[in-house]
Amino acid sequence: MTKKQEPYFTPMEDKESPVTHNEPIKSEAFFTHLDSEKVISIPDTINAETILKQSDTYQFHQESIPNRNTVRRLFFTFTGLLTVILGWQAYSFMLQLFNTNVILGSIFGVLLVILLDLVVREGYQFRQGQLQFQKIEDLRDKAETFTKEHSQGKSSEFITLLSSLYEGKPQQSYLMKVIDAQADYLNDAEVITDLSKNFLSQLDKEALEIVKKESLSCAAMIAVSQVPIIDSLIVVWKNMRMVNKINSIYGLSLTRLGQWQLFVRIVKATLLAAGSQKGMNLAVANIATLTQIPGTKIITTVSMSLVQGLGVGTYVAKIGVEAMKQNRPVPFEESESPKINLITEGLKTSLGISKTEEEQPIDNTVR
Amino acid sequence: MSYKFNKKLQNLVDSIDDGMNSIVNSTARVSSRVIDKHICIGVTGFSGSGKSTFITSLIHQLRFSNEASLSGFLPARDQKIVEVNLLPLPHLELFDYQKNIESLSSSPPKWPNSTSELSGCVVEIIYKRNSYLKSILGEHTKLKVEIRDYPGEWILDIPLLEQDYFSWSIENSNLFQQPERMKILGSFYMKLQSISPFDVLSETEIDGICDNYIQFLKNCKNNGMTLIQPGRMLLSGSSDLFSYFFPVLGLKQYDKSALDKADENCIYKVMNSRFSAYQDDIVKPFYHDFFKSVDRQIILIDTLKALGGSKDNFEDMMIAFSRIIDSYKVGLNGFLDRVTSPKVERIIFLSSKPDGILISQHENLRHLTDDIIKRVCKQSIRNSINIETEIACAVRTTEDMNTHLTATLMDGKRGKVVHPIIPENIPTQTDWDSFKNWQPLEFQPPVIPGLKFGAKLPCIRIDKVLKDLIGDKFND
Repeated sequence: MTKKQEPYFTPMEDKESPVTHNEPIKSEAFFTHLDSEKVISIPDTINAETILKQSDTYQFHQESIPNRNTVRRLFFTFTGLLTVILGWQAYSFMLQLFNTNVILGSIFGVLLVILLDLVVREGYQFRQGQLQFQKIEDLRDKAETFTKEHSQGKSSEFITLLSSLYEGKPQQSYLMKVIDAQADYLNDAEVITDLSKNFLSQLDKEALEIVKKESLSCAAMIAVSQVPIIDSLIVVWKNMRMVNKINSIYGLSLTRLGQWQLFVRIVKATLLAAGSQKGMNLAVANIATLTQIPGTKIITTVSMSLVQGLGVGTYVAKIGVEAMKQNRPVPFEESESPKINLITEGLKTSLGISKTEEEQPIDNTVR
Repeated sequence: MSYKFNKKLQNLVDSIDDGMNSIVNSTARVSSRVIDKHICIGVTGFSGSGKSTFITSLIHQLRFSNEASLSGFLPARDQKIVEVNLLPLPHLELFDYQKNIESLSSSPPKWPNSTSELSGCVVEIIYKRNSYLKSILGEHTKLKVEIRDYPGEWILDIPLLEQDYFSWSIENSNLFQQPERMKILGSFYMKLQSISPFDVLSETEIDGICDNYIQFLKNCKNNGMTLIQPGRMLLSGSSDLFSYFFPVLGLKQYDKSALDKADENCIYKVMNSRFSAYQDDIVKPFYHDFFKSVDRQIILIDTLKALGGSKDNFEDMMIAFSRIIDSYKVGLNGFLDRVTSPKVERIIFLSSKPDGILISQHENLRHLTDDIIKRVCKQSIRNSINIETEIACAVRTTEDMNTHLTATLMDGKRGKVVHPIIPENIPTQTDWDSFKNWQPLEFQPPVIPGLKFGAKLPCIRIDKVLKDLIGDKFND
């Protein structure tokens, strides 16, 4: 009878059977002598645990909480529906007018076409503005990637995109000068740093001057004005104007709607920053300073106005700096980021509020 | 009698004068350190790594910073540097910047001569203050940057301070087992091996062996080896300064205490005393005068030259670097430390002469240098101080044409230059195969009209080096 081989079982030969205790154990059975010159590599089964380095670069706090409500969708659906109804109504009305009087119908038709043209133009420009803003965000992402990794020759795409952003704008000629002056050996990170330090820093200077000027003028106006509703309107108007100026410095040309959209975004970002510990420190620092106005120990009406002025001025400066951050195609480095406390110090000096000897220093640096 | 008295009096006055000057200089230096306006930069590298050219370029870029296009070094970009003066260091020859610039300006241009003596200078930078401090402290302020130059061979002796003759000889016995060294030693190895530490040799015999040993060291250098000790035996005229010595082989098999008790005239004792004298009279003063006061260190690594040699030479270079780096006293300079015991607070490893390869390969060179640093720099140093790797060229000699370089060789021939791909890590055997027939070429410096009068000296990333070295000192 032929032995059928079991696929899952291989019988052991007699000589391979385990050593029984009746037989003396030979040490050779458990140890095989290796050639001493042979290099023994570490078996794959011996692995060291990978130690995950502790790092401050991780951040688990979410800057923006995912939007889960449907209000936005509801708004757009409702607006769409309203537009269709209005369009249909206008069309029916125009047909009715044509039936009654051709001239009146024609005039209405022409007005409708003009309106449509205006809406399309505004929509197109709004979209262009959005695309420009997207371009800036895209540039910022690319810049961040390049500065983290040392690559070479990939930054030409970044330069093309940046050049297209400033094409036909006053910034173009200066940008070209900076690009032409760049050394050929720069790696991508160095190209970005060079653009940031030599081109964008010039835009930063101009933008920062506007921020200082506008925050001071807001602070002074609030300090003088005693009507809260007027104060609020002035602040909104001046903020809006400041943000628009900063937009144009960094090469953004937005429609009114786009300007509002960006403005809201900047104010949201500023509010978020104000909610942080640094923002709280700043507020505390300002209040602490303002309770110690030289020559008085009592908070008078004048000092309260100065308090309001300084508070609003600081907030305007924060909005301005946030606008710079949002518009800048290369993120600020830690060392070059505009410092709010320096602007606040300037505001204090201008408003005649200076530190008294009793005052304790408070770290109110906000970047 | 009267003449003798006058002479003695004159000597006494001179010595008091010297002492006073020394005290004044030291006090000025210490006070500068206190206010953090005096910084000492050590430029280190093996022979031929380009230290003198690097220092010359550094001084030139600072002196003529308006023309130098140092966009990465903000004080220069913003034209804050008003004046740069070269001042001598006490008891040290002034670094001959002018002579080196004249060499580079000659026709055809020549590289500065290799350094044969210790020299140094204080680069006094007068610069404009930031606006908000101007009204209180004055418009201009000074930063003094102390730079010292020395022959590259001297640095090879620094690791000897950590050793005694016994351990140095054992280490050399091990090094001699390397195939490359063994080949260079040839029959001299047999001669060395035949010497017992208890043998008593005549002066003539010792001189003969020393001559052979010097020849061996020179051959090692010519064959691209780096770890050559004692380094000063390579320099001509060094016999006037100290007595030569060589390692006695086979000491491993002896007990050190038995050797110490041996006859004073035996070769072990003679060599041991010469080694100790060399440590005390030559190496220690150099270490104390040069290395101890360094705040920030630049270490020039000619990575390309190492790639052009063999695998053994490359590893030899890494061993030599690791020995030298181990000699550094590292740490952060606090307020008191700045005055009492300054330490190296920053080391920049500079892969020099990157102009010998295509720009597209520069990042590979940077990664390779990073990899070398990881191997040669022990964790305690890497974790305690700021270490940076940079690739920079003091004087750029080539033009990058994307697929090749154009350059002028030392003999004046102009042509296209290509090279193998530079590996990103320590080369593997495959990489070494590609480098088998390659040697980095030596190029002529560029012709720069008006260099003596401040014309721009082409370079690579010297602005970044300046920023890393002294950029933080211009914040006031």
